[in-house]
Amino acid sequence: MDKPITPPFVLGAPSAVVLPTNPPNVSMLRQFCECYFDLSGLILCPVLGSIILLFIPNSRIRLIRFIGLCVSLLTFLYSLVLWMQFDSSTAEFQFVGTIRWLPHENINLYMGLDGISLFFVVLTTFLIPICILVGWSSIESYGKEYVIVFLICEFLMIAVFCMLDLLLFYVFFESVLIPMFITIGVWGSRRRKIRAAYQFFLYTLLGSVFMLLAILLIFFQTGTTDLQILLTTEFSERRQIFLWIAFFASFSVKVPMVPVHIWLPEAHVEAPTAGSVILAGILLKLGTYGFLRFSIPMFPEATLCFTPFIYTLSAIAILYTSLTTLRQIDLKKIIAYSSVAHMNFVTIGMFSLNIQGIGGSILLMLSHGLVSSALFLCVGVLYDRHKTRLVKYYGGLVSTMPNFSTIFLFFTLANMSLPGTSSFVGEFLIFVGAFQINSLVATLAALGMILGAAYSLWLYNRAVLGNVKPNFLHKFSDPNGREVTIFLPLIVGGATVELPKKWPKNKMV
Amino acid sequence: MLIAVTFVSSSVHLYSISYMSEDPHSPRFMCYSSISTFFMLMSVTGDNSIQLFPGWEGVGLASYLLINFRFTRLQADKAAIKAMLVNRVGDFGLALGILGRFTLFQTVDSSTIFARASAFSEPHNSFIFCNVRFHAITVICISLSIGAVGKSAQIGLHTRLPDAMEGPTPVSALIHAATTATAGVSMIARCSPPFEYPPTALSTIAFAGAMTSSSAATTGILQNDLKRVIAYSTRSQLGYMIFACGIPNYSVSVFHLMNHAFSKALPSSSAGSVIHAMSDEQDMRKMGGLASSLPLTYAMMLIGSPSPIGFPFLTGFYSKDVISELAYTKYTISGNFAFWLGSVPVFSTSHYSFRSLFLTFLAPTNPFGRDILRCHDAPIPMAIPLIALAFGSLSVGYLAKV
Repeated sequence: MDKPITPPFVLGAPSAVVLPTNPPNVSMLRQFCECYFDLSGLILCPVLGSIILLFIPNSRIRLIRFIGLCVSLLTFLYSLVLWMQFDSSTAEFQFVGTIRWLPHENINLYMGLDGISLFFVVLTTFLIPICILVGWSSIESYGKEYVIVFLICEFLMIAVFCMLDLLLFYVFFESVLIPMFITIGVWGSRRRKIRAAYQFFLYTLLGSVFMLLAILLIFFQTGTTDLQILLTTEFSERRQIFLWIAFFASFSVKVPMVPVHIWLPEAHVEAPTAGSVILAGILLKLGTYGFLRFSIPMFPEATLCFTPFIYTLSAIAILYTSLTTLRQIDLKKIIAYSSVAHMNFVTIGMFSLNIQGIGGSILLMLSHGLVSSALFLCVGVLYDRHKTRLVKYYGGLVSTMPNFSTIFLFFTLANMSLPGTSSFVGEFLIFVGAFQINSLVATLAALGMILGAAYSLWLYNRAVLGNVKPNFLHKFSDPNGREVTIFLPLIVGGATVELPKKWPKNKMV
Repeated sequence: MLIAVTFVSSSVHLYSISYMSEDPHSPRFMCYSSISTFFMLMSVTGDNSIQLFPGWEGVGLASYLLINFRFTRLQADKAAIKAMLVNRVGDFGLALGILGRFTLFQTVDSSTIFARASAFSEPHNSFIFCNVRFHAITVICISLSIGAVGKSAQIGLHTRLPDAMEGPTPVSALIHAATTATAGVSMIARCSPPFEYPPTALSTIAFAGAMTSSSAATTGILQNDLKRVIAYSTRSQLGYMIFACGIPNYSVSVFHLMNHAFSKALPSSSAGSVIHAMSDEQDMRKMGGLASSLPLTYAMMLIGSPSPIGFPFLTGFYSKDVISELAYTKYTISGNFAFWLGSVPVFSTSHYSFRSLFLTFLAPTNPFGRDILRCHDAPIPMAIPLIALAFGSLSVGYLAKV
């Protein structure tokens, strides 16, 4: 296979096309197919899969699920191929491709990957097969729509991470809400799912309206929404502050930061297992990715101005949500609140603006995607068997489900960032980065380390150790083959992502 | 350090083969003991702080897993959480110390830090925390010593050690003689060059160590549970080690650590042998007159008791007396305080060591009939480590003194 052409960074030529010149009346599908092993192929693969699935009748549910799983695994292999072809010696965007959309307004589907988005794309394609496997036996109604929704969701999420055009990033960023709304609303577990779905959707959308205004303002000032041009544009300081606040309104809801985090426990609790996996694994990262890709590079002076603000909110969030987690009685809510705390660690690291902080935040994002998803899968295993999520009904699971207890212990320890797991690398680098800028924030964040151990271990003790409660627990089956297959890649990921432990040493020595 | 840790760990492993032989979960126990040794060795052999930290937290994890080994017992579960969380508070201090070191020295490599420590001791190097300017090296060393306080169960974070006796007895021999508890002292001793510069940090350590040793020893006098006596005894010896670091004389502290490893593992293991023989009865008041029933164990306990007391020419003497002398000769407030407060445990240690010996072996027979009828002396796999540790208790002090 030949290496895709990476165009040099050309200023003022946002529509630099890598496709062979074609007369404009050739259909878009032809254009896609001519570029194999390109980003367009990666993005299109799940869409094609879902189109194929539309034509299969509902009765052949096993075939539907099998095809869905194959398509998602194919997408995962595709992204691995892209990873292998990735050239890590440059900081340019690679696999760049453009599809002309509105050439007069200089808005095109401008796609590209760099080192940061590559890993998020791989994480996305890694988690979707797991989600489809999760719903194998527990989804009784609308099974075909379930698989199709997740494939569409995958398409939209990959598109978000690949988009280098601000307006289209926004379009895909918001479109991800639609399949998630459907997932929570249709396959959630109890009546409160309707309220949770609406809350999730409207909260995020309200914040994003401000972002849309900001994008329009940027477009009217510069005449383009191409990221690479906007990175070189200088906005005045007053305008930067306004734009930063508008972007913050949108991203902070997704992160989630403290005043606007309320949608997260609701959405996570009411979503089905796979929905929670995608929410925790990918959707929370969209907010911090937006900060990293758009807010910080495009508005540097405003970032410096607002860094204390972000630090305050994040420190409050870490301490408040960790303490709140101690009081929860619902298994999923505990893990949901701990996700909030982890993502606020990420924002602290990101806004330290030094190499350790940003590196640590990316590592923590990736490892949180694996660990939180795995914890939701553990809870899903329990929920499938006992149909309750309240902690007081669980106890002594280690006696009857020893394999499950080992897996759960591993991810509990990863959740509290025990050294030896991937979360430790990210979290520690974040502390290092933050301490150099502001020792108070680093101290408060390190207090979150103690509280993290408290709620993680207490949950583990209550649910898994102790004596079995035979009044409530009637099924005693260890995870079956399908469930172990789901956990195995996550364990491998959680343990080996910290192998580049020599990397922080190289960064520090 | 490596000799002490590996010797004690191997004898505990051998010992627990036979101690845990009736327990269906003994493979899990051996696995967790090995994890504990692994993390301790990782922490001790690291040349930079980043390797120290996983080993440090890992021994905390190992103590959590080992204390709630018998997970159906609620007290054990609670004690395990307490151990892990109190350890974590210490880890928070250690983490702040490592972060401060990186910020100040821009490296984590220990040799580089030690070489550069003298250049950073002037007062203009400072951290700003809540708008107050602090001298950098002082902050770093105090944070590191908070880590040691947490790990070595000094006063303030001491609550976990007596409750940690919920685990099976080889656990207390392993964790509290050789690994977890001594990780704190070894960290301070390894990071000793930066500790030389802030006198405030050194006197803090001396105060903390002296207070720990005296409070632990006085509490141990009145304990009725055999394992708790040993727990408090461990705490007071750890207090000695810490205040030896604060005097400052790090080599004596590490020497005492090595002697303590041998001379504490021995009473722990013989206590385990007694408890095993008495069908898991731990209360000393319900034992007595076991000298004739358990002759080997009695002999081992008789060797193991005077050693931590500092009986002349046994192991403990060579390090413990030296520590007291050093404290006497240091004419600072902290040195004097340490000396007077460090003399209290000398008295208390001999009191509770011999009290436990008398109550268990020499007092008039007090146990239930079924325990006495079924008691058996230590089987060979348990006896061999005891004998090896006895040789250590007798001779290591003399052989290793420099």
